[in-house]
Amino acid sequence: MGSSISKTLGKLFGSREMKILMLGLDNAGKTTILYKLKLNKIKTSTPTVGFNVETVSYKNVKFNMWDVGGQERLRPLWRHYFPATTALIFVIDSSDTERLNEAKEELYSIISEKEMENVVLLVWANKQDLKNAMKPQEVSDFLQLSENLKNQLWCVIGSNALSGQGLLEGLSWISNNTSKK
Amino acid sequence: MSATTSSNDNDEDTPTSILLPRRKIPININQSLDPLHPNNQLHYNNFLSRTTMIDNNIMSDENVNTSDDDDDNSTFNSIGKSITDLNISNDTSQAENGVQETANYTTIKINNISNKDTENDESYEIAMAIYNNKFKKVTYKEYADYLGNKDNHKILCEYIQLLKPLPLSLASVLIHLSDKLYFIAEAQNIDRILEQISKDWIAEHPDTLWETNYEIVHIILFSILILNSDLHNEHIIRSKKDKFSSQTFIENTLYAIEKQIKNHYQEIDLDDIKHQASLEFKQYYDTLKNNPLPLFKGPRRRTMSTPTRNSLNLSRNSSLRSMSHVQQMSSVLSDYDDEPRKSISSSNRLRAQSVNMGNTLSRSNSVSSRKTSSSTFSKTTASWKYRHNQPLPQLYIKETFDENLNRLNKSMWLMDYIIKINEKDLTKVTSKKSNISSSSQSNNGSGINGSDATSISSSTSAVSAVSSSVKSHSKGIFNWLRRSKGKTMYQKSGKSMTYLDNSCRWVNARVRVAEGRIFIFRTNRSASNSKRDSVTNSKNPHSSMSSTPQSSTINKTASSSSSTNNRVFSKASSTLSLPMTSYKNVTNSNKDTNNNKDTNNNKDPVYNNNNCVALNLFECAASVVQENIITGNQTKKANFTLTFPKNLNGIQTVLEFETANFEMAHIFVECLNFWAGRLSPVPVEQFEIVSNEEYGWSSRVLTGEPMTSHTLNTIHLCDWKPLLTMELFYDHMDEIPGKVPLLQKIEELKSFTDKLSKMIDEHNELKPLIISRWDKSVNFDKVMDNWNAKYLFLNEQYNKRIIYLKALEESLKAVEERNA
Repeated sequence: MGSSISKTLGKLFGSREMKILMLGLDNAGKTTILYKLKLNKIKTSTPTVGFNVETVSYKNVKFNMWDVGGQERLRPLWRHYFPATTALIFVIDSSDTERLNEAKEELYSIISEKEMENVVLLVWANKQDLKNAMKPQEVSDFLQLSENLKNQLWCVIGSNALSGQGLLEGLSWISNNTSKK
Repeated sequence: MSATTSSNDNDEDTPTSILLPRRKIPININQSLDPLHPNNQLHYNNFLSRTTMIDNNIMSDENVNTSDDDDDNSTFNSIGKSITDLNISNDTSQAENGVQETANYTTIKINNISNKDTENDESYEIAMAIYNNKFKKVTYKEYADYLGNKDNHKILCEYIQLLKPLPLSLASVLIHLSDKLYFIAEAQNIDRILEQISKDWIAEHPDTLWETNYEIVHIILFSILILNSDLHNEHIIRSKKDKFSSQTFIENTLYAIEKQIKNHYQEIDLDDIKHQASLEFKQYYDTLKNNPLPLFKGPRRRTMSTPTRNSLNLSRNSSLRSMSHVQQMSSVLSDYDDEPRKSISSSNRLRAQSVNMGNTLSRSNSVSSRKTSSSTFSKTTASWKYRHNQPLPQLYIKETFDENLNRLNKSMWLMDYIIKINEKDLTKVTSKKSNISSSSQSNNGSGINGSDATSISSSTSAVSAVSSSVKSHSKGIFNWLRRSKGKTMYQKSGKSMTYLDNSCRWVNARVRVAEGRIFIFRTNRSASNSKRDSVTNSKNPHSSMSSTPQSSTINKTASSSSSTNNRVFSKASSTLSLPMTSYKNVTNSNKDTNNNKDTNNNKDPVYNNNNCVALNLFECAASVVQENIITGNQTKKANFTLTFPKNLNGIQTVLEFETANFEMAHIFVECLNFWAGRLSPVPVEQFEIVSNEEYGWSSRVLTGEPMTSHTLNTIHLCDWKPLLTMELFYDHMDEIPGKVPLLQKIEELKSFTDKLSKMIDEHNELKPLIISRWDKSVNFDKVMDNWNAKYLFLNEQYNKRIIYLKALEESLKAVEERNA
């Protein structure tokens, strides 16, 4: 399925350049998502020391998805390195209710940065396949997005990174809501 | 290794059963202890902490001398060696039992061992193993993620000790690290590794600009690493001016440091050292600009290359359950790499006898398979597999009743008849589909866009169709991107109403609906005619069919439906007897039910596999045309349509069929909907989305005081459109998300349709309110478009799911009737 998704991304994002940051606590499922979105590597390029970066490129389509993150003191760095960030994806483990608060703090500390104010926010309420997973509405209520994010577009989508459910929906949501920029 | 080695080697042949019970020591205490290796001498404790108390005493006595119990331990001492030695050869599952027994036997003197030391030593062992690339729990490519894991902090610390001395230049530190370690990892893990390194670096170099502020060093290290990705990662496609200049690199790094100092009141005056720091950063930039950080290429394998060792490692590791076991085991195994060849083989020989094969895969295996799955994608369409005689994956959870029902023709489970298909559609699916089997998205579009030239050429020979389909895999990947949308509404919707069009041509095709797929066998006109004549001319279909056992069911159903007395069907049933078996030879899912009936019909010109297309029925919907459209000219014939989900271009394929009567069309439709409903996951994701997008009906607009028209005019309205879903890929899917048993699917559909129906009601109630609020705004049309778009989507979903639900409930009745 992976290669198809990468093809779809081209369609989704048209002739635009998209830089997307993907963040979230560890074990939220970011890596699994990256694998699921992984592209068919047509040309085998030598891997580069450092971060996982997934990209699709075809003609004018550029889509970079960075797995960046880390502690607070590092945030000024990546914020500056990706000045044209179009969207922030925040991945949450919906079944891990104990760390939801931690996730919430992390999310707000990022989204409240000045450089992030024009970024659309997609929250993947991941691991919906688990029985005790919180529904997107519950996650959204917990995060209090509607109270706190007045001027920013946001969206919470349930996802299951293993099956891929919710992933395309999320990316197409980003696409729907960034086209005018 | 020395003298003890040889003596222990001899001891291996001593039968444990004699030696150990005499001492009342459980036999399989600790498989991981390896007293042979000198490195282990210092670190015995770490193996002992969790598994073996008795050995703990023995070993600590021998090596650390913490035990105060002289007598027993001294007598155990020599035995202990042989115990552990022998235990290496024991099966690990036994060993676990042994551990439990041990716990009963020995609560003796656990306190003698300092747990802290034990842990440290274990961490050291693992760190050492990783440093030497001998750690087997994960592959060397995962070492960095392993070290960065927050549960492995101690190991990380030990590992960094091994890297010392750390160079003064921070870029060199990273080069030093990435030269030893495959350093591609998750950001958080990178973060932790770099943080620890910066702490150690500060300790080693306290007299730099950064004094003891490891946080700043951490920032710089991270910054250099991002720079490396930015400069050298080929995946990052950006124009040259976007790449970092040394100036931006310096500024950004300084900015982050400045923030750190400001936020945490660190005692360092950046202004004083700014110039020096800039020079330092400039150096880093220049270093990396020309030379990317080296990527560690993997360990050079030595003794590991022997196949017995590898298989042994795998099976041993996989049979272990607890993490600590794996770690211990790994260190033991890695230590063996330094062993003399002889002892390896002898211990292997012993182990091999007890290794329990066929256990669950180790983690590294599953990870690697996950990684490769995406690359083996292109040939996964059902059509391609079917043509190449490859097994088709099972799309549903098979239940007990399926076994028989899957063979019952003219039921919801199986339909297999020759009926008529719109010639245009047939060409479309049999030739075009094959060409684009690498990308299902394009097939519909191209067919509808009417590139007749290709369809004619490819219909000339099945072989050419296949070869071209293979060829198109390579370059066809992006074809769909260039393909324009349908030229007219008519083309776009794909709803050609052929049944109202007298000029259309209906041609025969064998249509088989089974196990979640529709198979359409294209008939070669001339060949099929002659073939069919030869069969039907026998005028005794029963005799011809009795030649193959499978045909009896067809025979029966055909005769039972004789009331329809339609020529097409009698022909159909008779000709079907032969190709049925050829079909069964190649479908995997049917193999178990219809085994080894090889009637050698693969050369049948009428139903060559190459002329067949197999399509998944995900999200499809079928309906009988005449139930919706009543025309003046009454005929017995009936039509039904099969609608596939929209592709990426918004183009929807609709296949049209004609049957001799309504009953037939009806059963086909039921069968198609049954399978479609059974396969299709319930798309809850779309309906559970929470967002603050404004479509015109948010509570802030509709409740409270009406907004002024100025406010309404300036509100940023989003376009409502359904989000893309996995529907787009169903033709490619091997693994279906959310496979559930039939009963559960029915339950899911019930609650989903209930929910949808409520949503539709709520959406309807909004309408008058929306109109009253928006009617004076310039955005009125847009809001109403949004409302309509959502309304249509909800209805479409509702109608489809209701059809599925009904079909599945019908099937349940059929099962119950059959059982009764």
